[in-house]
Amino acid sequence: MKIPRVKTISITLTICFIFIICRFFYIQIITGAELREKALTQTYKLEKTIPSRGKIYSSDNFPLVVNITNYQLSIYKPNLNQDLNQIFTKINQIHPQFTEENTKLIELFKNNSNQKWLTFTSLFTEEEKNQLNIPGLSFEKNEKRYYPEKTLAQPILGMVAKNDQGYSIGYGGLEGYYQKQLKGKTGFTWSPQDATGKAILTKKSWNSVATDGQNLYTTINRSIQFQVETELKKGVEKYDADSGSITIMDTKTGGILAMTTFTATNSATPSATKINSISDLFEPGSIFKPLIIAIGLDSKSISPDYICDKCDQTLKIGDYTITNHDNATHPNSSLKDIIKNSDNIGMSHIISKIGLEKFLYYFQKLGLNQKTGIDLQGESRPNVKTNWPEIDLATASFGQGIVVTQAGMLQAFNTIANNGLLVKPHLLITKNNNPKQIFNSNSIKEIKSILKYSVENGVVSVMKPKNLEVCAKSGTAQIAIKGGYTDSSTIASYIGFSPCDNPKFTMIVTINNPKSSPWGSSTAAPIWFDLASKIDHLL
Amino acid sequence: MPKYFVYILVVIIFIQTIFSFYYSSEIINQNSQLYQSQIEYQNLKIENQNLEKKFTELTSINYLLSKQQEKSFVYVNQRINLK
Repeated sequence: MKIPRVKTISITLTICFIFIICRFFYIQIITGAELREKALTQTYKLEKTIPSRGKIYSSDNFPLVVNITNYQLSIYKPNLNQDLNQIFTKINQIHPQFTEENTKLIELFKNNSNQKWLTFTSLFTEEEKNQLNIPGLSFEKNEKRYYPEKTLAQPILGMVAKNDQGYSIGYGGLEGYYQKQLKGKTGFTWSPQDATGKAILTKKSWNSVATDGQNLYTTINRSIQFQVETELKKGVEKYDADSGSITIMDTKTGGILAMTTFTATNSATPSATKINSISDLFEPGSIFKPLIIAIGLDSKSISPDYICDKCDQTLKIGDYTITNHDNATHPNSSLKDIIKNSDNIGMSHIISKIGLEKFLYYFQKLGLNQKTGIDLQGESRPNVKTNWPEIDLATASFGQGIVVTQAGMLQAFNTIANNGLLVKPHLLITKNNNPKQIFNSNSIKEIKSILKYSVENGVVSVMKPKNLEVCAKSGTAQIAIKGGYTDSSTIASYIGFSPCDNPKFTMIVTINNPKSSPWGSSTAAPIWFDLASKIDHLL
Repeated sequence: MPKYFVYILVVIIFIQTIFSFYYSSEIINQNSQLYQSQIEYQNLKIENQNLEKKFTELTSINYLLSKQQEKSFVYVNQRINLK
């Protein structure tokens, strides 16, 4: 039986139709979700907009850190239409020293035929990139930090490096502390793309705007910072020391005007991000004495006309004997004489009048038991002992057996300069500071006159510039080793402010292990006075 | 089907085709303009960065000191009498 032609065609068409319907069902219903996702990834594109990192300015609005855009070169062999040697010669003409910087990489790339692609670490400028418009060469944009003043204030500024995910992260100093504010917010655009792969921006479907990082306006005085770095380097070399640190702060506001550390080349390798002024703990030595006198006066444990009637002999506490640095004694010393002669015996008698409870109360009020909270990454916390035998309290009166950071010591000493008000050291101009009253004005008046007297009548009087009024104290601390102190090395320091009544700045100079002379008065003090006379007119 | 209905249908299809061509070319134009503006903005940003870099280099303490040592630095030592 013959099936009619029309019937055959209609059956075939029906089968085809059913097949097409089944196929549609399979594509749209069963694999629909997966295919829709595939289609979106082919037609839509996610673009990332990297924000510019915030800049850092000095107090005169000069940018200490800016951003510059560089380009990283990559070569893809299959797309080259010239000989590789010719290309490298051309690159070297435009970017001198390119072949010198990448000799090994270039040789390996030329000799290895399996290696098709290579990215170089050398950075090219926009101009150089435009001149190298050669097929097979491509450039990737790269934003880098640039320091117009080169190494000036380098540890304070910190550094920026890329993490595993390729994001820029700040390490150390301000870059580390203010990472969140400086980094900004990455932007994303999820939009359809055309046949060439370019985003169709007019058909934007989702967008999150990139926000550049915030700029930081600091209290760093560029000229003072430069002077401080120059003088410290000279000082460390002159006194054959291992290292040195200087910090200067605005007496009234607590703003850091300059902060630097210098490590001698023959000593330990200096770290790019370590700031000794906030990370190194040291025993302050005699520069701590004015604070003890201030505590004694403020707590009324001693009166301004105090006379040490037991200063004619050394002081024995248990198995220990307290002596003076020159082994001399100074009978019937007044407070002025005790500070001028840096009398350890007199100080031990004063602290015994103050007592442990009051001493620890003021120690805590002065913030010496905690971090200053300075806005820099890497600050150390001082260790405060819990057990205080009589000998430890006596040695604390001349700054031995307690540890502080340079910034912590400066913060505490600055309360004397700032008429009893404690202000926290900081680097950002806008940082809020709530001053706290620690000492009353009468005690401050007294201690200031004592400090002025000791500068004008002590061993440093010859160094003091004639036109400068200075209230300061020197210190020489022995370095603690296991179970005692070493005789071979000291930490020499000088701390003070100028002028005495209405100070413009408070400065501390610390010299580690000076070999030419161990004393603070003959190493740190000359640097202090030199700097003071140079920076006085800059403020 | 009435004849005029077919004519209307043809005209509508024709207008829609023309409109879609016009609209898509408009999108392409706008997109390319936007793209060019973005590139221009990026270039200006880089130019601005380079100018800032040059300016800061020329006003840095290091540069002033190096010029001073080269003896090509002339001090301004004349004063204006404002009386």
